[in-house]
Amino acid sequence: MINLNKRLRDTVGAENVIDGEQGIRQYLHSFAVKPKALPRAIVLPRDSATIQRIVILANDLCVPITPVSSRIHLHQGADPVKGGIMVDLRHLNRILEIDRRNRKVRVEAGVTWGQLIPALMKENLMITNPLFPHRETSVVSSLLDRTPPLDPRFECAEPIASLELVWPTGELFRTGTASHVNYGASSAGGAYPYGPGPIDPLRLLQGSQGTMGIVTWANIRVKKRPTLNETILVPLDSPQHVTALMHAVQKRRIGRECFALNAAMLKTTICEALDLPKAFIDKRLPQWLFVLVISAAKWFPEEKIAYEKEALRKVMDSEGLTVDCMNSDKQLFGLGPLHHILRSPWPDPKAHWTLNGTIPHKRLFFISRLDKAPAFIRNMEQEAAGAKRISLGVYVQPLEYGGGTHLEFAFFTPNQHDHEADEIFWACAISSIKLGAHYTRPQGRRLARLVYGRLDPQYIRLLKETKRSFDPNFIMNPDKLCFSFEDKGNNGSS
Amino acid sequence: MISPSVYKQFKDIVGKPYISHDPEVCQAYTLRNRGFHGAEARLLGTVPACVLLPKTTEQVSAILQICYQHEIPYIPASTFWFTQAGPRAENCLFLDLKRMNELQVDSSALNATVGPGVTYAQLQAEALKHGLYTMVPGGGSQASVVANHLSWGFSPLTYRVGMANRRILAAEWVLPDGEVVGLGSLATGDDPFWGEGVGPDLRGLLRGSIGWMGSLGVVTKMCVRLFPFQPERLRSSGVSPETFLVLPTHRIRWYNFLCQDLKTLLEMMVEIGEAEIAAAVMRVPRMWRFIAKAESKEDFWEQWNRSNNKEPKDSSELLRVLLVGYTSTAQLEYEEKVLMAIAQKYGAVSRPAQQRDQSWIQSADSVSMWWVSGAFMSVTGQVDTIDCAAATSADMVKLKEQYTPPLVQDHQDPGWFQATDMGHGGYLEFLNYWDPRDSEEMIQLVDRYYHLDGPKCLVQRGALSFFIQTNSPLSLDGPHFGPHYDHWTRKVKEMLDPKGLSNPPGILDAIDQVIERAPWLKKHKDW
Amino acid sequence: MDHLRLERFRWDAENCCGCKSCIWVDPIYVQGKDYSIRCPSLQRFKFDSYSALGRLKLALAILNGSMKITEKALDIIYQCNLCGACDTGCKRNLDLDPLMVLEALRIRAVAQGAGPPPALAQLIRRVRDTGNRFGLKRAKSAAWIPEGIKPSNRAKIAYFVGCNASYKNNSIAQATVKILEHLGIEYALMEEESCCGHPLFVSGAASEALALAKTNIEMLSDAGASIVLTSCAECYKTWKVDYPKLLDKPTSDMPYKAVHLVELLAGLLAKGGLRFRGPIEMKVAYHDPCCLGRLSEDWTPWHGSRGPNGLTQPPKPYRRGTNGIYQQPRQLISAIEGLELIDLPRTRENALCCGAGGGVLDVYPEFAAFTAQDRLQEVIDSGAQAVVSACPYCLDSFQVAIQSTGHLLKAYDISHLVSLALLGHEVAQ
Repeated sequence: MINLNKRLRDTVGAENVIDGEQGIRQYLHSFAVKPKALPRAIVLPRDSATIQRIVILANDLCVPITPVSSRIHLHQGADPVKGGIMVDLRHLNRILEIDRRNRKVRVEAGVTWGQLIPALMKENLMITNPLFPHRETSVVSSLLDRTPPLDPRFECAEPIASLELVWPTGELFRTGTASHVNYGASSAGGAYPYGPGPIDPLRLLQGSQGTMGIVTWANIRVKKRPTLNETILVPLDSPQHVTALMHAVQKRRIGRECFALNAAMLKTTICEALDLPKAFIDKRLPQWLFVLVISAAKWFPEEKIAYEKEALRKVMDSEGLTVDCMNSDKQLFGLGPLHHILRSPWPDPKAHWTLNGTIPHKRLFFISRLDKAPAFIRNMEQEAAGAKRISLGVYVQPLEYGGGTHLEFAFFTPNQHDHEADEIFWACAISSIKLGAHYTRPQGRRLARLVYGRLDPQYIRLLKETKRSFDPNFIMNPDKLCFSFEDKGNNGSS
Repeated sequence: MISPSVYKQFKDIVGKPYISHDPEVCQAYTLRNRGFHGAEARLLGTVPACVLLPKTTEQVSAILQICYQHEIPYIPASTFWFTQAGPRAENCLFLDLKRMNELQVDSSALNATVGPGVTYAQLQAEALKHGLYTMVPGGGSQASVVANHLSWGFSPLTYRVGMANRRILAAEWVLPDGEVVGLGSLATGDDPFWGEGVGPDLRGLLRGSIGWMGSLGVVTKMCVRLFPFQPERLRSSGVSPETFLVLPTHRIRWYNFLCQDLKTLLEMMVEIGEAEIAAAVMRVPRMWRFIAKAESKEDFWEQWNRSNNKEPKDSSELLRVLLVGYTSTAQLEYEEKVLMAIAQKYGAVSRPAQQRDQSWIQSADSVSMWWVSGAFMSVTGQVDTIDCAAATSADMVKLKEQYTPPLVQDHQDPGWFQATDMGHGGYLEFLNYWDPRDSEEMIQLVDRYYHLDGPKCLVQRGALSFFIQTNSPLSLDGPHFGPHYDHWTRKVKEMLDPKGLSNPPGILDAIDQVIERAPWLKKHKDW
Repeated sequence: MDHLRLERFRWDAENCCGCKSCIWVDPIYVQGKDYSIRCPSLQRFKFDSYSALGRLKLALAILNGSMKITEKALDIIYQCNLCGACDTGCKRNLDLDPLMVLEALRIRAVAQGAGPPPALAQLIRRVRDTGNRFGLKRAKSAAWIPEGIKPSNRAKIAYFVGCNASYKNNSIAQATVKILEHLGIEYALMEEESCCGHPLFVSGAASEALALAKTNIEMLSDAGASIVLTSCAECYKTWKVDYPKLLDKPTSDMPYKAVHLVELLAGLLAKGGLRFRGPIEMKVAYHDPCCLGRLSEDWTPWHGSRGPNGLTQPPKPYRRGTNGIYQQPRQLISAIEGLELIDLPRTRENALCCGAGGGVLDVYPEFAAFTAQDRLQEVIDSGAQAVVSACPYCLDSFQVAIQSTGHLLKAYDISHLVSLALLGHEVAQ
């Protein structure tokens, strides 16, 4: 293995390799929960060609690779494989092109939310973002990981338009209409995601947690920044009311950002982002807060806001909610416009709402039908009710006009190492799976085992055979999802 | 020939009324004389040896297992309305999926679950009852929802939502070896409401910029996304052939604008997309304006020729926009105001528009493309930036001139443009018509345009045609896109269909085979 | 009869593009998953071969010599109602003539001695031997005439009763003449009425059909009539369309005008000449007979050729089913107080055949029954209490289907309802 490290240094330059134990342990501070396994080395390439060489080397020597692009790692998908190579893309951090005409931006994989959002703002553009992304998290990584957008419009759901990647075998490839060999010099605009041909590499990369290849850059769709915004806040007292209102609003296509938080989640997200005093929080928080942002851009913005608000009033009326329930952000929080913070990363560069007061890595999120969300919430509440120290935070995010819902549960506890809370967490996970929760991206080994373990063997087989087709040596993050290094040799049966 | 013992096995699966190897029955399922007049149909098309009509996924699975065991090639097709889906191998089994016609709308989850035998016309009618809608594709509302979502799925109504890829939710897929796998939320339960599965999204195997055209097993059930529409009823009216939906004009309206030239029209498209208004935005090819008004083919040609012989030539461009007040009447009024302001900005003149819909909400009159001269095909159908569409169009106009005749003279029409994905994309389809009874020499010229020079032009321009597998030889475009997307595509094909039984020669090799078999093409192969 | 030879329709057979407009209800009128197919044989047999698309390919194979008219081919050719749904569907966008191909296939089958199927051959013999399709003695044809009815010896209007109303559904003929007499319309009956020849034509026995046509036209002329009135849609279409087609003349050149009862009555209604009595409280669905609806436009022969791009020279006149008799029966029903008219999902030019047409009832009764039951279910699902049509064969088809299912739905001919509304009492069925 001395040979490996030397070869890595020869490949990427010694200054771009971290391979001593001290250096490695120092590096691993960027993980929210320090991983147990230590990599052999961490390499920090600066371009696609270097990444290719690393991958080819890894294949030659059958050494696993774990690619990461964020500066902070909030979940276990980034955990290194013991004795493997971590490929850290932080130096691929350029915003390569802002194409105002076609409303897209090309960014390298290491570009973070903290970089991109202000850069776009300068150009009067914005990107559909998730709920308070960490400013040090890679934008590309977030999107590939299917972090749900705050804006449930179908049009905004999948903003990646095309990308460049290094396959696990080391070949360079571009997807969609960026796939032309002379992309950049030809008329190919990279504006469309699919193919080329009858397979969709972009799809295979989504949700793969770095097991199918290393993305080097992506074209991402952006929008014109609205000139006028109004945030409507509706306090509600039950998940049923929340989902009913969400369904009605989405069916009429009103507004942009739309989501709901229960009090516990509200406290740890919006209230904390606004830095509200504790007294205020304790007095004013509703059980549930439904949030809707109505926006308008260039053309007759007041009229747009007006017709959407009028439509919203009618919806509220039909849901038995009075117009009085419609609060603006000023009324409820008395502070600045809410839409602004909703379109920004999490303000604290060190901490993050996903970690505040929660058991590390103990968040559950899955996709549900909107009309089943109350049942899932009730189930979780019942399971968690046994532990008085646990406060359950819930985030409800409609997707695709309410065709689906991202449900997220945070288990707040004063003691990070609370054993009872840990047990409750797993009880909730198991019962939600039994209830039919659709975990599309289970994070962490144990949850992944739980989820994948219940799947049809045909599905697992197909996943493994697909991986084997693209990664015959099983070197790309091979111990994640349902994969293991041992799968390399067999026929893909689980 | 399917052996008697195997035939009996098939018969035991589907039942006697639903299997036939009578040549009189099988000849209805040829690729020839199904409107697809290209060299592929002429050179590769065969008559299937046997036709089966399965009803359930279990039957399809059992059939494919037998095919796998006995190495019997097969082709699945539902409505057969994409003429690529015809048998091209000898002794092929034809799976006619029309009996798999379950349709269930789930209005709460904004979706519908359909079998391959369900058409868009049926789905749209059911969806509209729930205040929802789907996107009837350019190919026509008689297309199969499943097959079209898997292969194409584009139309003016996809302006907001884009190609069908993202509208495929969960699916039930019979792999070429007969095993059944549920994708998306069917992997974790019985509700097909969600498309992303666990882990990597395996919909990426089902289709990319185009589908497999039945050469990677059979999808027997699919859940597709529906979208909130507006609540007013669209009344059916008229008597054939002039039938249409009467639009409730306080909630849906068509608008026509004459722009002084193509450049202005495309700029308007960009601005409309940026303003995030509208439900459909397209440039109407000049010929279509005459098709719409003609009372007969003869009437069309008379008017068309007369107009083209007039001086000065009419160079105006027609932009057609559909507004839908999804939210309310006030929304439509607002969007109309914005639209008119944009039109004014670009000097576009508003023209009267009939407030009726013959295409695109419940129908799409794609068949008129064959009505013009008997044969039709598009040498490209692509989505990238609007500027890429414009540049490709200019190339194709120039190339087409060299092939006119035999192509019908359309006086340098730049093609069918649409804005898509709210203007993030610009669609171009470059349409061509010709007389299939023209001389052999002329037909060979058409072949060359379609299979060689057209694809070469696109490769040079960098335009990824989403029709790529239907006219372009993989040996030509494969190395130029990806690069080498052909290599990765073959890997998937080899992974799932190692015996090559699913619709051989498959979309990967068909056009290369055509070129090999056609001396008038082979002699021009220069790669 | 060169103008009806299969070769004349090669272009149509070659230019099918496979869109299946011949099968589907016009997409603008599709109401959902159910009742969206209007080709009875495709619906029954499922294979594409049993649609116009398949039959056009069969025709092409026969023309090219690669296929003979085998028993299976005969099955495909004759298990078809010749209802014209395919023709109307095709002409929505493509303007081929599928129906002419289907008719020419039968003519070819008979000419080659391969067809028609035995049951139709028997039917032809019955018509030849007894002048009616049922093979009954001619004397019985007058048995339907009720007491007190006084037709004129000679009149401008000759009421052509037809085989079915003469020998089977007498109530239709009785209701018709009672209506005429009530309205003071002078009419004559043909002395020795023969079958109109429809069964011969649909069998493919074109020469025999032509001979019978000539005979009937002569008889009409002898009766001094210039209008042939009928209450049977099949007879109507035969006189109006098939006779000129066989004679290779336009409908406008015929020495008579064919009029259906609903046309006559609707014309009077428009002029205020019909006074209906007290209400008939009933929800009724109107079934458009194929021969009265989409198949009934005037015939205009065409002897041109196709040039480049398939252009016809001289320009071909297209019969698209647009001007079929659709509104008149609906106007009559709507004018009768108490009747609530329901339009079925498959309506007007999209109507599903009752199942009887094209000789199917005679040769393939099971197929006919299948189609009738499908149509009946459509009526039941519409919420109607009764189905009304304007053809005795449709009435037969529905009555058999109702009987076999035991449903309480009623079936009427429009003459029954009109006579009840005019006279105040039912004509016994």
